[in-house]
Amino acid sequence: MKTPMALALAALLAGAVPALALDCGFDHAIYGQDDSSSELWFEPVDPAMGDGQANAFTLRLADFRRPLVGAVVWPDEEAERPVASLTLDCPAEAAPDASCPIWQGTLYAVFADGGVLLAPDARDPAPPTLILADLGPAIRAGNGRFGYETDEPVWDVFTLKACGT
Amino acid sequence: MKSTLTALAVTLALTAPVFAEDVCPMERALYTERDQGYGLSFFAPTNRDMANTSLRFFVVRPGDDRNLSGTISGNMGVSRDTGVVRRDCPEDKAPADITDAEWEACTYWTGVVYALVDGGAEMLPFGDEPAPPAILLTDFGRQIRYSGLLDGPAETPWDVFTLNGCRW
Repeated sequence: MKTPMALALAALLAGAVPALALDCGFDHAIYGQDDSSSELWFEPVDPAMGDGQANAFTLRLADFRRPLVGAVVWPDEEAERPVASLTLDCPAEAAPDASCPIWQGTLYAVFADGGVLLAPDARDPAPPTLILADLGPAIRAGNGRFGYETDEPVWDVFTLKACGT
Repeated sequence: MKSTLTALAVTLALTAPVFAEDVCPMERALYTERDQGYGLSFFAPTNRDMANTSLRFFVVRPGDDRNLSGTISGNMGVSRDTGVVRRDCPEDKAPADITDAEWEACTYWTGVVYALVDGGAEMLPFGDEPAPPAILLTDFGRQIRYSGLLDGPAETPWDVFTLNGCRW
């Protein structure tokens, strides 16, 4: 909690980030919510994860001690549809086991003009808004697995608030 | 290109009444999808519906003379607005007597629905409130694609539906 806020604040003070950091790469983008302290931190994809993983991120819930590990994979090229997931203590595989993820669903990018895309490439500009479909109820249901209490509700929509280094 | 122009013409023709009237209640809204021209036609639930059903809608597929039937349900706040699209579910049985396999066979899509407003996403409005300019039926295209309804992947629809009319 303290660290991401401090970093985000530092980034803001450094002047690197206007209100909408349109020139932030998606793989350095930090997203937040108006009504919660939850944050999504995107990061470059570890090449060891193989070609199937397109995006890597963590979800840092209120009072978090351990981030949930997020990934977007394109498991079936023909489907042309990504699968996003959030895991904790799951085996490190590019394609997550269906039973382990705390959340699995579709990640959409929403733009100011109302346009909607499936998860953009990690090196594309960070979209201003993300939807993680049905995230909040999954986080509430997974609460017992976090090893600590967090009862702050999480909404499914995040907005770009800072750009990491 | 020609079909695009035709679609554009149709879209423009259908769009005019919305702008003229400014707002359309959610329970009379008509939406269209960009890739295949699917249409959604919303209406209010009837008293035969479950108490948590907030909206009903038809899914109209170009070239298919039989609509699919959709419902939206939610409990305002705790869970999300969840949509289900079905066709040909057993009509000679009470819902409680329909088996999981029978439900699965007649269900074409299940997912959370969001209103797309001002570059963000919200819960859907009540039936008598203004319809949002667009709605997102999450994972709609992928599920329809694998539902057995289509002749091939090129017929896959997109997940976003844009307000293009109001049913009077």
